[in-house]
Amino acid sequence: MEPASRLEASFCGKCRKQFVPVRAHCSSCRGRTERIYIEGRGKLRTFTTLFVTPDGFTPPLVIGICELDGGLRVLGEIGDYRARESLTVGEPVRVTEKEGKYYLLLERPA
Amino acid sequence: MTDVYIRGVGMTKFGPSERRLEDLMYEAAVTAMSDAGVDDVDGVVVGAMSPESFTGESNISAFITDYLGLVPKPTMRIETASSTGAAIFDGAFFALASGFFKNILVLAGEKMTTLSTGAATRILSEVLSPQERRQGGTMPALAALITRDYMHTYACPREALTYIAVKNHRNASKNPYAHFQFEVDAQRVETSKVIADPLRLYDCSPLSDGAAAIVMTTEKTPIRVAGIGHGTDFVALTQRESQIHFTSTRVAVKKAFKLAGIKPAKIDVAEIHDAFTPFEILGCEDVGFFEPGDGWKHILNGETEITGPLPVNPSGGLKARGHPVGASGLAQIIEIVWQLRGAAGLRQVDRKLRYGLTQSVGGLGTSNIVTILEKVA
Ligand SMILES: [Zn+2]
Repeated sequence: MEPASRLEASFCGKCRKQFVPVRAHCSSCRGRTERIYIEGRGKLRTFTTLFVTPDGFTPPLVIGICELDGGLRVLGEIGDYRARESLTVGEPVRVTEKEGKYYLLLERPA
Repeated sequence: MTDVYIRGVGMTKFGPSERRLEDLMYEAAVTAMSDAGVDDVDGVVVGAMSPESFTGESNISAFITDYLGLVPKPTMRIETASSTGAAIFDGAFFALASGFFKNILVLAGEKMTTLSTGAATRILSEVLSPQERRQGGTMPALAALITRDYMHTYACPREALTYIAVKNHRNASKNPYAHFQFEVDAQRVETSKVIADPLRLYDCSPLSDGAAAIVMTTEKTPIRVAGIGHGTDFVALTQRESQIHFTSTRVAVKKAFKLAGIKPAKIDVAEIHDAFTPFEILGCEDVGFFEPGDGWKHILNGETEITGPLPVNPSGGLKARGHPVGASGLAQIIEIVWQLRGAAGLRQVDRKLRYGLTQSVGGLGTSNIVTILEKVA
C-alpha cells in the first residue's frame, strides 16, 4: 500500500478557500491563512513536453497540471518522461512535493 | 471627462535591428510627432518591459525624454509585462481625460535580439510565478498547457492553429513594418520544430526589436478613443478561476464596451494578442466576438480574414508583425488607426470602418487591456 499523498496547503476559514502552494494571506479577503494538509490525488488536466528548456533543466521536460479531487490545481513535473507519448487528459495522478517542487506521479497499473 | 483623440502615429519596422533602443524609440517618436503636426508635447509616457535586462538601461523615461529634446516636460515609465504598450496608452488616456494635459506622447520600445534566445526566454519567463518558474515553466510552456486544455475542452483541431499562423503570415507579407514579410504554408507550420507540444515554432511570436509611438490629444481629430478597460488576474495560472480563458480580458472588455456605449457586434476590425496562435482564438472569445469554444470554427470558416466579416490581425499580429514585447500593445493600436484612416496599404480592409478594437495580454493574462477606437470624422 502506498502511503496517503499529503500536500501542504493554506486555508482561509472565513472564505473556506484552500491554496497550493501555501500563501500567508487569503487572495480574496487578505485574512491570515492557516496551514493544513490535503489529499494530493486528482486527474491530469493538461500537460506539455518542453523541447526548449530554461537553464538548469534538461529537455525533454514534461510538466502538467493536476486537478485535485477538491478542485485545486497544481503544476508539477511528470518525472517519468518516457510516459510522455502515452499521457492522456483525465488520467489519475498523485502529487508529491520535494524540496519546493511538485511532482505528478502517474497512477497506472504496474 | 474630456474626450481623447489620436493625433499622430509612428513606428519602426519590427524585427532584428542593429540600432540602439533609444534610436528606435527616437524614430517612432519623431514620426508620430510629424504625423501629428506638433513639435512639442505636454508630457511623455514611456513603455518598455525590461530594458534593464535586455540592454542594461534604467531610468529609460528620463533618458528618452532628454534624447528627444523634450526636457523639462514630465515623463514616467509604465510597465505591465507584454501589455506595456497598451498600458502607457491607458495611463495617458486618463491623464488627458482629466483635462490637465492637452497633448501627450506615448512611446514604447524593446530591443530583444542582442541576447541569445535562451537568455531572452529566461528574461521573459521572469514574469511568471516563482513556483511555476521553479518547475521549469516558461512562456511557451504555460501557453502550451493552456492550449492543450482549450483544444481538449472544445475539441479544437490542430488545423485551427495552423490556419491562424498561415493567415497572419499572409497579412504580414503585405505589411512593410512586419518582422516576417513572407507567407508560409500549412506543411511548413506543421513540420516546424516542437517548442512545447502542441505548440510548434510557427505557433510562437518571434523575439523582435522595434518601437511605436502615438501623440494623444484632447483636440478633436478623426480618430476618437471610444473605450478602454484594464483587468488583472492571479499571477499563477493554477490559481485562476479559468485557465482556458483570460478573466482579465473579460473584465477589461466589459469596461471598454461600457465606456464606448456599444456591443461587440459593432466592431469592424480587431488586433488580438496572438503571442501564440491559440491566443487569437481565446482572445476573440474573451472579447465577445464568438461564444466560448466556437472561436476556432469561425476562424476556420474564414470570418477573420481581411476579406471576411470581422478581420482579425490584418497587420500580421504579434505572430508575424513581430513582438518587441513592450511595444506590441501600442503597435496594435497604430494598426487600427491606419485601418480606420484607410491608410493600411495592401492589407487595408476594403469597406467602411467605424470601430476597431485591440486586446493586449500582459504576463500571460495578469494585466490585460482592451481599447476601442472610433472614426468620427
Ligand atoms: Zn479569505
